[in-house]
Amino acid sequence: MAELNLLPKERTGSKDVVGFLSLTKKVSIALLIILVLVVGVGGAIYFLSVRDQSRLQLEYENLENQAQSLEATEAGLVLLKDRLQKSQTVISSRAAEESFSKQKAIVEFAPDEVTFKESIIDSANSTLEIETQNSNSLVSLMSEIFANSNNFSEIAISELTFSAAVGYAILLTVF
Amino acid sequence: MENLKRNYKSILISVTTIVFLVVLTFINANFVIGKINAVSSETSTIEARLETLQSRIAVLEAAVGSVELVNIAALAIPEKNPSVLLTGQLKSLALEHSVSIENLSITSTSISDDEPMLTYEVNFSAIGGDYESLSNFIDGLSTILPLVNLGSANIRSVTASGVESEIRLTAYSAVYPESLPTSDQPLSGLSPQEQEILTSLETFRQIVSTPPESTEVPTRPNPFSPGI
Repeated sequence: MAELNLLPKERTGSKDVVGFLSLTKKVSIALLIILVLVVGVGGAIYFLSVRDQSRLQLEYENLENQAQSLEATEAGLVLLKDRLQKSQTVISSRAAEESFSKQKAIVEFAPDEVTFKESIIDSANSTLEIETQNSNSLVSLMSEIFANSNNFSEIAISELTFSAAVGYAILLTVF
Repeated sequence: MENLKRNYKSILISVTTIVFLVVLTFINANFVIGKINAVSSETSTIEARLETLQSRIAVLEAAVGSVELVNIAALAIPEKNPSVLLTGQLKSLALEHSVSIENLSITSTSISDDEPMLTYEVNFSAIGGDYESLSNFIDGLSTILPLVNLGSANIRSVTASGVESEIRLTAYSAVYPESLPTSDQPLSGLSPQEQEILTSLETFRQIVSTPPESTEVPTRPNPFSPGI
């Protein structure tokens, strides 16, 4: 079918111009659609985000009120943790107590004939002096100490003396 | 010529429209994305704060039982000079083990008040009937509140009076924390070590305060009543 154009010849543009104008028209429509989509989808996302934010803000405020009602507990917990950390520092620095317990254990499992004489405990020393009239009880004590040697980090006989009046006197270094 | 002019005009209008639409789309997209980003950023901040707050509340609700024992922990390391509390505890412990205490002195040994824990040197002589009673007394020192550390002990057997000892202890005090963490800061509950310390402190010898006995005041007749 022949192309029908009733316009005067001078009013019709060249084919290239008509093609270009048609293309720009299509591009313009596409851009308009993109613009509408950007505004529509973006607006929707923004609206949903704001709604979500408001919901979270409300939830936060409610929780803040709940937290305020627990303020006394919070103060107690902070104080408790502070005191417990300090208590832990104090308890973990106990060394003389440990030496004393070890000395006490020796005296406790010593035979009845063994008598306590002197004990010195400080940060550097831990010595225990005991006496006994006969060598049997001394041997018995030593056997007990050997049997329980796992309980001591270090145990040494620093001095062993004998006199007719006192009997055996033994000075132990105990750690 | 006029035809050419008209063509140019049409092309110019079309191109201008396209440019205008491109610029408008770009500006709008930028604006909308900027707004969405701002809201997302604020939402993320609120979410983070909400999470912190939720964990704080959970920690606090779980710690309610432990917090009731705060008095024990506060007694372990008192806020102020523990001399009075300690003297009472030493006397009570000595009485329990039939040990007598003499020459008790408590002196502050801290150089500055800014130290995290102030220390006090406690010196005294303890005399017991035998080694067992005195050693039980010294053993008991590690389970009294306020907490003390044994600095030194010199124990000797004395024929006349049993067993004597010169004992040096270290006692402590520390000021209470002055501020609470802000609501944005996370809060942690008691660690297993802290829980263990608290459990052992519960078994320590606490100060027994006996309420004063009520004295009965004899009722006196009202001298202004008309019957008298």
